[in-house]
Amino acid sequence: MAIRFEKIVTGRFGNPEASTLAGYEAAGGYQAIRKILGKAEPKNVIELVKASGLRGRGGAGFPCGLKWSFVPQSLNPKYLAVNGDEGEPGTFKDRELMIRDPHQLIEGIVVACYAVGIAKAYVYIRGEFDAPWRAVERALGEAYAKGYLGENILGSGFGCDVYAHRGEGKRGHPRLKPPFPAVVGLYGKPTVINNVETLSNLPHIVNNGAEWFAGIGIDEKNTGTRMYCVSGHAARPGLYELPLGLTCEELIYEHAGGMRNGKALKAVIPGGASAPVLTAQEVREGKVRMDFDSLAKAGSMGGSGGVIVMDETACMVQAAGRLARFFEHESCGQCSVCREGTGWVSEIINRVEAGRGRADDLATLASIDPNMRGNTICVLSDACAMMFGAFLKKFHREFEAHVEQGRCPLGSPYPA
Amino acid sequence: MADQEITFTLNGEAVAAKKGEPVLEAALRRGLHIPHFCYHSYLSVVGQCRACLVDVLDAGNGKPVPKLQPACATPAIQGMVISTVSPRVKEAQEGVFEFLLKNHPLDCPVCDQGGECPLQDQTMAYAKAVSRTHELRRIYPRKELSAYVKPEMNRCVHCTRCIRFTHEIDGGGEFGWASRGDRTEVGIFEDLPLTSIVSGNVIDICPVGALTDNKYRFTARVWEMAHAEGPCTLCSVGCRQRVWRAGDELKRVTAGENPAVNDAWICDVGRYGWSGVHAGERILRPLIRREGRLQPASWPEALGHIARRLGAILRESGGGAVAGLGGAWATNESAFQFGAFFREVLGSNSVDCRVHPRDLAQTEAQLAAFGAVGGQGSIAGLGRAKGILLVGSDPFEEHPILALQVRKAARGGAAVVSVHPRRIDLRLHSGLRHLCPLPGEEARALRALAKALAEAGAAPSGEGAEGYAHALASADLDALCREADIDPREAREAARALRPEGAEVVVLAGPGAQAEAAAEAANLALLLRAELLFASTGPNLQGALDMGLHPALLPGGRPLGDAAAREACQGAWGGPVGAAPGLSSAQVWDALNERRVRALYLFGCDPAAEHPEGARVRRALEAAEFVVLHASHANASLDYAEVVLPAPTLYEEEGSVTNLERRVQRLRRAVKPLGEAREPWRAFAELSRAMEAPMRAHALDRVRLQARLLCADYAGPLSRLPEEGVRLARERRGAFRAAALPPAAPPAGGLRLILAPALWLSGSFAASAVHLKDMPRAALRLSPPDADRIGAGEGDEAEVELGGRSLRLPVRVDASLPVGLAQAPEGYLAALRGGLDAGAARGGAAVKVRAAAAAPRVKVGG
Repeated sequence: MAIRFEKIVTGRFGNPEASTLAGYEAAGGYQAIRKILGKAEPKNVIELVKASGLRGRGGAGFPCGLKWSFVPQSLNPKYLAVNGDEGEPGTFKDRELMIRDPHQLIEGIVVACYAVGIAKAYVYIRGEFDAPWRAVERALGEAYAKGYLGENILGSGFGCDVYAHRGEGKRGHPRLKPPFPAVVGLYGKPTVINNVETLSNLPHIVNNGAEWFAGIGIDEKNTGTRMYCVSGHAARPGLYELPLGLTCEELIYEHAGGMRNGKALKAVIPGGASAPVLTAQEVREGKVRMDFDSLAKAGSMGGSGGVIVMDETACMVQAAGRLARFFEHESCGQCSVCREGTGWVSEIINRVEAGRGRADDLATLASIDPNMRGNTICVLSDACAMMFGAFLKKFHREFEAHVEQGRCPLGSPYPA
Repeated sequence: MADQEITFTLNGEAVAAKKGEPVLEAALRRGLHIPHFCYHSYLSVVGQCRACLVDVLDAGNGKPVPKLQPACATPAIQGMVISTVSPRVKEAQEGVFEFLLKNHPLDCPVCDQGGECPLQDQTMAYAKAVSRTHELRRIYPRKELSAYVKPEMNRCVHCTRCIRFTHEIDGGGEFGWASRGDRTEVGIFEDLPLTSIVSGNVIDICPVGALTDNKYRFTARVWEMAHAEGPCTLCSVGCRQRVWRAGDELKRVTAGENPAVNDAWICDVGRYGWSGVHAGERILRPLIRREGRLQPASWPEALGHIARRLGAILRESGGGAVAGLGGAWATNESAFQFGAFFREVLGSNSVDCRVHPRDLAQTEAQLAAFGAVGGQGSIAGLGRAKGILLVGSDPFEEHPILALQVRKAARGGAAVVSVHPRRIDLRLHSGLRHLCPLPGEEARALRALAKALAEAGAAPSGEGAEGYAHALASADLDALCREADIDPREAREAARALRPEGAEVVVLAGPGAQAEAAAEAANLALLLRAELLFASTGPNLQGALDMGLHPALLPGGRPLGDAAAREACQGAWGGPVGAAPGLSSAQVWDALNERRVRALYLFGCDPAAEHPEGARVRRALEAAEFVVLHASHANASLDYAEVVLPAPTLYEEEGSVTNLERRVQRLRRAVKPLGEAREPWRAFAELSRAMEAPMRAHALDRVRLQARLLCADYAGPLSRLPEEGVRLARERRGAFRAAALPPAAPPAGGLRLILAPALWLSGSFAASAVHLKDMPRAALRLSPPDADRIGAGEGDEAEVELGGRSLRLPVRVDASLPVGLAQAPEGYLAALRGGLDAGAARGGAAVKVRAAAAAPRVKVGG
């Protein structure tokens, strides 16, 4: 099957003016909402998005149109929460979308609000993101001034407000589900939660049609492009918007310039910190493709699009230990399993890496793994278990060698 | 539909549940244990500890749920099939316990929670026996919380019960959590210490030894103690509590559960008031005044002395020359016997349990409106009301558990209207409306509210409705509001808020509802078709009245004029009962001064200290020829007593008590009477023998038998009482009383002082309780502008000058007070010898205040 190469959401990245309203308009922006607001039936917009096959670009890859249809039409107010947190290590796409093309996001938000019947959207941008915050705030100001937001947009009778927020004013805690956010979400109201990249696709789908979008990608369930955030030991790390369905090798060797210094590939984390690591052998022999379903079949996941490439010099224990520290640090502390589990795992792995591993440590790790899966309010604990479970299983010898030799055989300096 | 009964299957056993209630709740009720830490029946469900994970084999739709589910957050559905013993549940449980213990110090031998620790017990039942952790355990920086709650946060398992308690129940929100992951730390902000009057509940709900009782810890082990469960007797709410003793010594009090009264909470006064039992102020043996000094005597000597003195007065002047006051701090049985002793042995109807004029006013207002006292409302009704009218009530300071019930209702959407000179604090973000009349003008504000209700369509109906409707029709809302100094718009808004369609409204009248305000509160309850609660300070005022401690009412509330009622008493007691009403507590003082009454029997009360007209009362006590004080603690009235008899506290007695909603609860003896104290009902019987007129009731069951015969609705409760007690409700029907309001007080100049009770400062019992000394000190509260004006800051001493006398008190700056109004705790000022009489003047007494001394500046930190 031939894969059509076409840039969608990053199409204007080369154009420094695109981040301004004038630049965005000049590049064909705000046409999508002209096309649908007051003209298309909202439910037809949902159908359009369903037909496009657009799946969520945040991590779980849930079909976007289907998610919208879960929101009870009769309950008001409803909210759209735009997830601009992008907290997963190895991922840096939403940041760029917000900085370089904020109006594309805003237009996508208006499309989503129109489709679902939402009058208020909140763009959540985490505290560490300063430049994206300023870019979105500026763009919101411009959009309001020009009447793309607020009451009666473009005389269509439809209005919606968009706010950039740094949180709900509470401690950041996942909530018990059910009730699901589609029924009880932000401020206790029905809420659609969409990722920045997902929403940024919407104006293009409206402008060019569902068939056009579905024509990019490998099959009807993996349509459009993904923004792959390549980091690590690739020769040209960076952000690559590519159609869904390329193989991992194509991504690394044809687009990201191959391995740095000609070293051999050792492992790839294909979808951010939570995605189970793939060995070079799996990547090579399995011809693993980088779409949602192929990665799931390969035992990993597309996740957030963060592709971390590691060559033969990388110590897998050190990598797992570094990622474990991330989960330990990010655990909100609610569930006993995650609060204590992520810290414990991090302590053990980093102890092993530092050469102080105990004979029973690997068995302990292996037995902690299942207890951290499926038993908590959110999936951070699962993600941590998926991460270290895969490292431990696929690079068990390397872990053993650390314990046996009482040091890191690859000579990785233990981070102080 | 919400209470629809369904059945699900747990480990093969059928479990009945209310549809939608947590599976965990239903399982625990059925006696099937599922481990849990964060779940608490009276707190929100958070599903955090993950100990209660269960396997839903069938979600009631024939399909299993793929993941294990927390039983606390899984609603019970008809036909569900659940396992808590499947291998994957076992594995998850062992995992959760391993995680919980990962950073928990295994210091059980030196932990106060040991022996009653859910973590310890459930670990034994559900966890693997081996520890696999080699890491150092988490250590938090040491912080202190309060004088009552001792933190040892290294033991914390982050169940967040304390956080949810302070946010949801108490409302202070002191507890929170900081940091993330395994550094997550539960605690308080250092500049916001734990000062809530219900703070001790976090000790009870903490499932580990992270929050322990600072007053109790290291004084006993739980397995060395026995406990008695029953109502608290420090105020009229009657919260269920457990009183723990080791040997003959009380050790601590913990909360009991009574969904009809206190849910699972008690206040800190109830928790620590027991320390008054072992106080140095206890009267431990009889005393007789000889040569001007009270000297120890034996019971026979003391009883013989009383018998001789009373016998002589009876012979010379008849029974009318003897009056008795008190009984609100006694069991129903002792109160009954007190009344019987007066009516039968002394032939006097001058017996009254309402020593404080407020109690007199409130009970008389109820008698006028309903023909009976109490039984018009329920505490549970307060908790689920959709509208609440608070009249002269500051529940957090007076009846803290009622405050929690009001908060519960408000969280459920109730509109709360407070009529109080201060803007009382219920720690509500919304839903509370204040009407702040001038002190003494509460009745006028209530009349204005009634007028606004009538404007909004509320129409009086029933007895007296016409007269009241006429009074409202002729009332001028603006004039009423002007005279009471409230905003007519706010009165109208309050009226609208209190009239939710078809919803239940409760009127709660507190200590500030005096005289006309009490009567007007009854009118408003009738107008709103509301439940009505009067919250008195005496713990058993309701029971004492029901037992006949009223100059015109016999046991069972039957009027003295009712010949059949008198005959029934004669049948039970053996002697005739006089038909002429005796003197009420209001009439006794003049009668003593005029020598119409020669002897006064004070039973568990202290008018010299607690009566707001202290000087007048003390003059009368001085004039009395013979005063008996029969009490548990030395108090200000002791100085006037010729004979003192030791009484046990209610921690030392078996019996029953009746709370403010007329719930009769069984009181169990927690510790045997101290010293030579003996049960009052027994003392009265013995005194009657000494007077050669022995009472028939000489044993507790005989007292109860008589009480059952004479108090019709107590017949059941006094023979058999369920654990939660029995509420003796009355039919909600009464008569409007359209009394004319007294003329408005002239505008007050200068600073006025009002007295209001604070539970922890009121009465000799609380005053003697050493553990209550860490509660907020007695203070003169001033509005910020008034404090500025006299140049006094928080904690500085102020000199209060009133009626030519002066007193020093620390200043508390309190923004809830309007400018020009000061407040001091009732019973406290007068308790000081030669103290001040305030509150006698309507609208507060004019007072002069000046700064006396700056507070000692304590260096904070480093």
